[in-house]
Amino acid sequence: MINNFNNLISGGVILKLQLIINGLIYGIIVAVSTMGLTITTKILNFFNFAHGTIMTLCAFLVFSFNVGLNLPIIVSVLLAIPLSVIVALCIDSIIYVKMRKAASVALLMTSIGVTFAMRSLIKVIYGGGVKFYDVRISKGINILGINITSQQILIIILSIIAMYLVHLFMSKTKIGKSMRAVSGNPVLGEVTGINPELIYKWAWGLGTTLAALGGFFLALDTRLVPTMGWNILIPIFVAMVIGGIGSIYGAVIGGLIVGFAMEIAAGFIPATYKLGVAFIIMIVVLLWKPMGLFEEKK
Amino acid sequence: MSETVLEAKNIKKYFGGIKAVDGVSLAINDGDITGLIGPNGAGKTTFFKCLTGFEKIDKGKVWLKGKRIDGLPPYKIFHKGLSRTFQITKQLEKMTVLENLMLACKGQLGETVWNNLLIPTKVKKQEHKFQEEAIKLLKLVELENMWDELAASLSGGQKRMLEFVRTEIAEPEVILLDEPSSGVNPGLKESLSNYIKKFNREDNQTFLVIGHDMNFIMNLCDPIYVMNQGKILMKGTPGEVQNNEDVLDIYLGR
Amino acid sequence: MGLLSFVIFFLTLVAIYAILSIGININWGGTGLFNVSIHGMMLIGAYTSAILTTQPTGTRFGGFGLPFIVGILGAMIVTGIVSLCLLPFAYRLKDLNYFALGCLGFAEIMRLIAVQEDGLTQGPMGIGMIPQPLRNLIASRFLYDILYLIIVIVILIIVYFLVEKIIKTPWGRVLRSIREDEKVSRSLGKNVFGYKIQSIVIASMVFGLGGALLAHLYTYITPNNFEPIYTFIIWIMMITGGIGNNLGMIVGAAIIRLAWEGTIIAVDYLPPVLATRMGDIRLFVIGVVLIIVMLWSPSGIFPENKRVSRFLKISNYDINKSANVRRDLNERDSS
Repeated sequence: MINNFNNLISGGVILKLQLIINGLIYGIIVAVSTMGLTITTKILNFFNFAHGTIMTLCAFLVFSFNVGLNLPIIVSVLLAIPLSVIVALCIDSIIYVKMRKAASVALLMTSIGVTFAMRSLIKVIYGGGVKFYDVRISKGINILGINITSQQILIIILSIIAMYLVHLFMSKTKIGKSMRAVSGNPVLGEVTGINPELIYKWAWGLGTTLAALGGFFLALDTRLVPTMGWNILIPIFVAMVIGGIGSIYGAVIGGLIVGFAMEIAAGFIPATYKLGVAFIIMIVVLLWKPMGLFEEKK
Repeated sequence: MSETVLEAKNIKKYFGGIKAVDGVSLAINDGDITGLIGPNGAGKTTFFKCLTGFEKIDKGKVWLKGKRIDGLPPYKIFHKGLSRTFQITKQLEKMTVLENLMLACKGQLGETVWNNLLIPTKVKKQEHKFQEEAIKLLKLVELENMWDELAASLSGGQKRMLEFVRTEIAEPEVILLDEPSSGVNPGLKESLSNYIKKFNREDNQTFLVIGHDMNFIMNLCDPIYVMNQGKILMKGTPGEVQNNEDVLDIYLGR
Repeated sequence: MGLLSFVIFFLTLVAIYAILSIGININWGGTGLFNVSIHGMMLIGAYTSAILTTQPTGTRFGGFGLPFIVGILGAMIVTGIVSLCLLPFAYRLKDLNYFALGCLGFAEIMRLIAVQEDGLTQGPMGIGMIPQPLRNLIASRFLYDILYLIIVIVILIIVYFLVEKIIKTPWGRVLRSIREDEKVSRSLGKNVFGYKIQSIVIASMVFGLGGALLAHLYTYITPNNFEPIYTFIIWIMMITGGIGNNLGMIVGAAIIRLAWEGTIIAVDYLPPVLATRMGDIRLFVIGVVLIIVMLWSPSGIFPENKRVSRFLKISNYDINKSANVRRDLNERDSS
């Protein structure tokens, strides 16, 4: 620990700024994923534990197309995302649709079952080792000794575009507006003539797409392991707590905050405790402003 | 002559720009059945919540038997002697009628976890005593056959009775009844009115009844406070209230 | 001989998991708290007992060489105290989810500490050579395993009766009222937060005890023995057995354990490629079992008694009323 500190002082400003870049990347990835989870949580009324596993699933699907079938990475992604959405919709149609009226705890428990089943399936099929995509790691830009690869720049740009598109969808389209109306109040939705099942399916679609993107970005920026979805789950939950459960935009900001905090802290404390940072943030927020930093405006 | 059991002075509660309760004062005397009426939106329910600790008071003070209770959490207010009912009756549906009732008994030794291991015989004796009292009260409202049934299996009227009796068993200083007659059929209304009068007569139980059902309150309470738009309009006997021009105005919209 | 010692091992595990399930019952069947920190508490209990009872090694703290009894009692006390860290999350009025997240995060932190702090726990290497109670009385491995099984069963019986004695009381009644409707409980003068604390601490002590017993069974523990999956396995046991019913916990533990171990036997029938992935196949099976249980029988096998306090007089009144009520996770809604 003392070593790190010394390094930081001697590394000086450059090291600090690198941490900020790392924080930005990780934060954006968490933000995208959290936005997806917030959508499904709000509209379907339960915490989908399997969200992280869907992220892992998409990342591995991209791997199959990219390394297994030797397709270019872009094609792989364009194939993997719809496939992940189909999987999510199937799971909903087989399992969750029977539990529309269930208590959120029961749904949570069920999603835990889905998590374990999916995660182990992935592990059985792909094996437990670390994998990488077949992609050239370009040198990217190097300003003042701070590195940022072109992939990372792409991740940031695409994430922002994706989140903005979803935002447009939610606020401008008829379905999007219905989703916001129905969230947390399905009876109201039915009374006003909206088909709730359609809304739910759209929620899964949007949420899973964002999750899939997040998963791919995470694997692209770091590496591919079967437990990556699980590992990012706690930062995502913390982001939701920070943003206030139910606030989609708060979740995005929450994601950035958590990502930044974790990466910057990693420069000071043993890497193992990175997760602890997220946890401490959650405690602080829960005790200080339990409804999250951003109240959802109706 | 009779002492003040519950007193509220200048209670104010604002929600943003809305003055839900704007300087309400009232005093309830021992042994009275006091009424508080007013049209919908007058602020009665908010005031009620302020008294019982479910809303934080912005300004003002509340005394129960001379001791300040404003700012205390609901469970502490209950212990000081203020019992209340809920407008939408709240039973613990999956527990039996008897145990619903016994939850309200005060000073149960068995509620402290280690007592059950250290002094089980004492706990048992006390449980039996409370059980007797509970059954007695159930007999009073003709529910004694349902003692072992789940509260969920009671009818709406029976649930109200259970709720009412539950406030009784704690032997509180004051019982606050929140819209006890709303959504209740006339026969039950009368029974309820009679029970309240009976407890008042026999046990000198003090009540504060809040509602907007004029007839029910008129036939039951004296004195009556009238509330409108967050303020107390007047206080008087049923006769005085009935004949008051302003009261008739706000109710009939003249 | 091989099969028999496997059966002994299996039964011992069932007994330990039954103890853990009874602990959950205090939290969920009692106050309706969705406690998923169990694996963290087990870890603390196991390591505490290990540190207290093992012989000193140069490299880490502890090794006091104290007897088994001190080990498990110490485990319970330490876990009880540490469980107070969960309180900020129980403070939330609504939303079980906050509490669940807090539990998970807490348990993960415990695991990370176990991995990181070599000085305390020997890190990922874990602690070995954990002594077993009365080991020197019996030389044969096989016969000793039976002795340990008997010890665990005795402890299970003690825990079962103690918990029954405190749950079926006015205290348990207050817990139940908190689970049913916190607001009503509050308005009846119950200090809800205080009861939640008691429920958490007592349950955590039971989890710590379970963890310690596991440590003395395996005689070698690492942080990997305490992954989140175990918390959910125990939850499945509770759901299968029947919420709110302690006897159901024991049966649930047996059934799930059977399913778990059943995969070991199934391995012989699988192609070698899959056989190496057996650990994952197990997880897959557990996941599927959980989904099936939630879809088809969330109320569990044993119903819950509708009457809480055992002190109530039944004899004078009509005893023909049925005492049992079916419960499932669906009935607890975060409102």
